[in-house]
Amino acid sequence: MTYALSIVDLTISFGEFTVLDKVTVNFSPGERHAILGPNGAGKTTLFNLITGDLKPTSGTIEFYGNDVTNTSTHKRIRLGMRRTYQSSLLFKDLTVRDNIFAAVRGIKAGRMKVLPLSKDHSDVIDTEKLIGRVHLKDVADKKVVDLSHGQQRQLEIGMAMAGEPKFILLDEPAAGLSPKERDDLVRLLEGLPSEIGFVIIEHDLDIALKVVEQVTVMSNGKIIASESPQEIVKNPQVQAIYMGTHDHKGNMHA
Amino acid sequence: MDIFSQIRNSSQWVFYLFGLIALLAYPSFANNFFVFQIGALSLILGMIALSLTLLAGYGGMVSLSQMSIAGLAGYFLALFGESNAVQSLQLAPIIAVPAAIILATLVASFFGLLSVRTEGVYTIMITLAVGVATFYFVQQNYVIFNGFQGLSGILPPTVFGTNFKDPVPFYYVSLMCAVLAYVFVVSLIRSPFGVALQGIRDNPRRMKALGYNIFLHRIVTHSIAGALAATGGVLLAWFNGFVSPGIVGVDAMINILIIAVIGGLNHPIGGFVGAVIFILLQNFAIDLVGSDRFRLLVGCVFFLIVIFSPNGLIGVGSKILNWAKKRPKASEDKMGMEVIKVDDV
Repeated sequence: MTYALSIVDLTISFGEFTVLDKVTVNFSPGERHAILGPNGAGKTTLFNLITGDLKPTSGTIEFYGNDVTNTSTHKRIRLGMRRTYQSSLLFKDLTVRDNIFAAVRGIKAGRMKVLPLSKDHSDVIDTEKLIGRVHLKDVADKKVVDLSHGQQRQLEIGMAMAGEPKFILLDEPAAGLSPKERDDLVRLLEGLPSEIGFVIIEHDLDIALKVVEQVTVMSNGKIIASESPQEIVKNPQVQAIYMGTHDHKGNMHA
Repeated sequence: MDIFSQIRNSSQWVFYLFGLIALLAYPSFANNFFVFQIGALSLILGMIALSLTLLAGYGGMVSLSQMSIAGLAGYFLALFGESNAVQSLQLAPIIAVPAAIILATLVASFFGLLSVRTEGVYTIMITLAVGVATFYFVQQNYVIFNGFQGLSGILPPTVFGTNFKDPVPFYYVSLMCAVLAYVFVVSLIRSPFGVALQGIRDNPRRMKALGYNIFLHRIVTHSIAGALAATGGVLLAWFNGFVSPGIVGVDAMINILIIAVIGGLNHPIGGFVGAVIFILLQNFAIDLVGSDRFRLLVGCVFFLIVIFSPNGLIGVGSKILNWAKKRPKASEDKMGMEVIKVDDV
């Protein structure tokens, strides 16, 4: 079976300090998966390795059968991988429309075009459609700096949905959102086309468990459990981590 | 896209139209000195500074080697076209000019290749290093570049009986090139390429995660800026009639940076504004403070601009316009409410 994303023995060390230690995990096409774990567990580092922001010390990453371990970030994106960031990395001085437009053009061959596009160009139309899909039509002409935090998060997801994404990595999309904005986010994630898979890093278990089929729990750079949402909440090792009764190696204290 | 429609919808067109008419009419009320030494030279240096504005203002890459590219284009023109150089190929201008610009653009691409993986002060240092290397390359290479003496006898062509060395025709050639370069850059920064370039300036990591090859984008920007600087370099060679290592020296490199910063790096017009101020100071400040203190005066102007208006003189203009827009009208009180006269009640 070809996995959407297959990670085998992925390790990254900074000097003596091993941040990820032989992590192996597979994601199927269209799968919705959550990665949980305390701060410092290595979740965002795993994302950074998957997208190519960091180079692994050892291990392999395959995306739809292609070995992308040493592939540059922009080429992974063009293969259909997308991500959002924990801290917003939007272009604050550009409008919502221009941010989405930059994302739409990023995966197109015409990204180097030096002449402005006409209003009926397909990329301009795609930009408008995407703005509608993430419910930002009313603020399309506003600069990002003038948006609420929740709207910025919606925009992040909108940018990740540009083109034809196959798999999206969502890094704490609900961080700092109000209860209403969280509900909007859940609806947005649930409304994603079924063929688009995603992995979500999220501290809010209500959100994470609501929108995924599978949960992986990490601690101290290792995977300690990978089960369904119903099973994971009963897992004593996971309960121990979240109740704070594990040692620094992730082992549960009885 | 709103970013594209801004220029079409804006009243800036009126400003541009009046500006262009003034520039076209300038030779009719200025003498040859002002047309050639002030007008044409400002347009040429403004074009070279425009190339730096594109790189630094819109791409976040402060390059000191733009004058090196311009100077090399002048050298290539002397070597390919008609000049006194014994090694000159004496080709017709219609071949020599494009060949000089293309070759200088390739050199700019190579300089870009060397510098695009660096950021901030390291980009400045690398481009300074390649600029200084260019200076010593042309100064010490007697066989091709004639060392310290350089190459002379570089004259603009005569077309249909019009000698483009004459001040007024040369001014119009410079104006045409400057206007085309300006319009191209304004269009470029609103194009998909330009929007992406500004994204790369603001957040390269994010742009990579959107599928952009940021290094390729930066190298292409160096090539485009190189072509602009090279065009300015060809005009500068015609203006001077010669090229020598001094044209690609550190002083000349720094002058372009000063021009761009004085004018303002956040708008394509900035380079031209800075060039006019610089050339006026260069020509007339000497009468006030003496030739020894000219650089001190330029330094003071540079210092004041950096301290009080980091966006250059364009920034000062924007601040005044914003202040004028925000200022309450005479018929409104401080709360923005219309004042009702007692007689009206």
